[in-house]
Amino acid sequence: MKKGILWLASYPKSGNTWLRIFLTNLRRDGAEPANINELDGGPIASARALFDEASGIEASDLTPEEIDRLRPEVYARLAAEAKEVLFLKVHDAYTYGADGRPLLAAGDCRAIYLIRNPLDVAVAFANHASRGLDSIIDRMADAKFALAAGAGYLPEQLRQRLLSWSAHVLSWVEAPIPVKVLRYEDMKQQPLETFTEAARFAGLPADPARVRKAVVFSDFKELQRQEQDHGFRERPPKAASFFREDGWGAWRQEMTPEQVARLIREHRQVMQRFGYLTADGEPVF
Amino acid sequence: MKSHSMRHSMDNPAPVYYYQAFGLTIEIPLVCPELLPAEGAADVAIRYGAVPDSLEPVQQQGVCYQVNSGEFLLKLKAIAKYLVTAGEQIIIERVPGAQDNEVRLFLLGSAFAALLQQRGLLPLHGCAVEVNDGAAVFLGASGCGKSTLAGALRQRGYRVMADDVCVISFSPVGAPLVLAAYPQLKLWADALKKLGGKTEDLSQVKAGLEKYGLPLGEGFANNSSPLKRVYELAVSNSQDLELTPVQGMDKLTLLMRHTYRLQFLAGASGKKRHFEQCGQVARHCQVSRLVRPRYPFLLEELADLLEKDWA
Repeated sequence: MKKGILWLASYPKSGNTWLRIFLTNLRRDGAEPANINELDGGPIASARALFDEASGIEASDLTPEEIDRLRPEVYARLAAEAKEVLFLKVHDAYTYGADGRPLLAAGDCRAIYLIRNPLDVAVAFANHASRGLDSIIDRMADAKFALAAGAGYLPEQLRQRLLSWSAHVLSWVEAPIPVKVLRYEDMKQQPLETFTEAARFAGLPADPARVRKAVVFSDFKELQRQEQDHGFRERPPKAASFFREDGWGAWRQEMTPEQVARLIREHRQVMQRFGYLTADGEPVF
Repeated sequence: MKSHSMRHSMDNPAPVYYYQAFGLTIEIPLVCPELLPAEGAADVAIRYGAVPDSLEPVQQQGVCYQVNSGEFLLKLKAIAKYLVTAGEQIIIERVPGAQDNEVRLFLLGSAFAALLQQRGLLPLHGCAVEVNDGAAVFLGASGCGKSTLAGALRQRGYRVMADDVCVISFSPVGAPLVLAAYPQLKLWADALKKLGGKTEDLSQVKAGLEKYGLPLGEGFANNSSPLKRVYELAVSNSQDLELTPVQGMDKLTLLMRHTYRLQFLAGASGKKRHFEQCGQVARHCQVSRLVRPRYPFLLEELADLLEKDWA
């Protein structure tokens, strides 16, 4: 099996944590569901500690531009030194420096890219970030949008340029590395088939019994139960819970027709390409 | 007191300045407003000169550094290269156009951490304040609020000994001692605001960063002090502050985890010494875990809780 980095990549709120929970359960093959507070695939690629340790200096002494110039070398080193495939969650878009070098170092890297109906992403992102839907729709259309970009304070993570939702998707599907694109909706509708594809691409055992057990252990009810009993450390402080019943088609209840129209107008092409809009421009899910 | 002590030597017309930090006298070819001046023979000589691109041999390396048993090389493309040797000497090769404050920032950070490790000292990632019976250190990841907390404790009359890098030496019987570092706190604009300070009067640690050097003045404890208490400061998404004692092996792993630039330690003997030093600290100190909510910071409540712990 090839080593290096397997990026678990997605726009926020697109099923990344769910995929990590599945992969953790599949890898560990335990008698009980894996603890959601001890998942593989972390830390996130933009974690400060990862950068500081590999570079030998502190990201907190550098500007975001200086950090971005060093990030490719950080990941190239991690990929080269990995003793087994390193699963790393990432929300950054697949971008390039002024020298044309990919931020996420191409050598020895592959990616699973998760895509989700952007209408549902908007609703989940609004809840996650405790912001109104209009501002989230603006973010998703903003070619310059970045997470942890704050000035005047030290954000917990390194700045992550997400670009617009459409540009994020295209940046990854056109990345110069092997990329497996999986749809969140297929993970929901055909979990065994979809998660089997993920397991195969990740180079993990993909026999039906093992995949089925990992899927059951990653069931939403189980995740909610664990969060209720022990909390989830990746929950944003202002959100009531991380594993919400906000999945499928929540946009139909929560978004106004104007908001829906605006989001579709911004992302029509990419939505059609990935089966989220019919040829007539009607939402599929 | 003079603002700095400057001498010219016969064969080197460039001025040199003398400062103190970590109990050492440092000779350096540039003005360092963040350090206290010193007199007398230098323990550490810092000079400008040519620095190689690579060490020979290399035992360990990262993106910006290389290490072997007696040398450490730090390479920052736009700023400088630093060669640290035998715990006594640092040669700096500046990149034309680099600013003095940038050159100093990484000199006093990573390059000095390597120098102190070469001298057999234990640098921890945290800040230290002087409490009645000894020093308390706060360890934790970047952004967990260590410097902000030190600033709040300073306002309550506790003198600060170190910010960001807290260096421990050991008495002949192995008792840990905190060595005073630099008389400044590095604070982001939001932390300064929390502490009622203003950014206008302060200098940025580096252009483009809203991070400022706050001189400690009388609030700096320029001495060494026995280390008595270690706190790991962490952030969680809970609502409350939590202070819990850490026991047994967990004390040791906590100290190892928060060693400053652990990745610079080369060779088996350095690693063995580091393990033993963390063991000494664990034996001599009360170790606790201090968790605060992400929002709000609960800064005053945190300081209250600590004062209760020290009463």
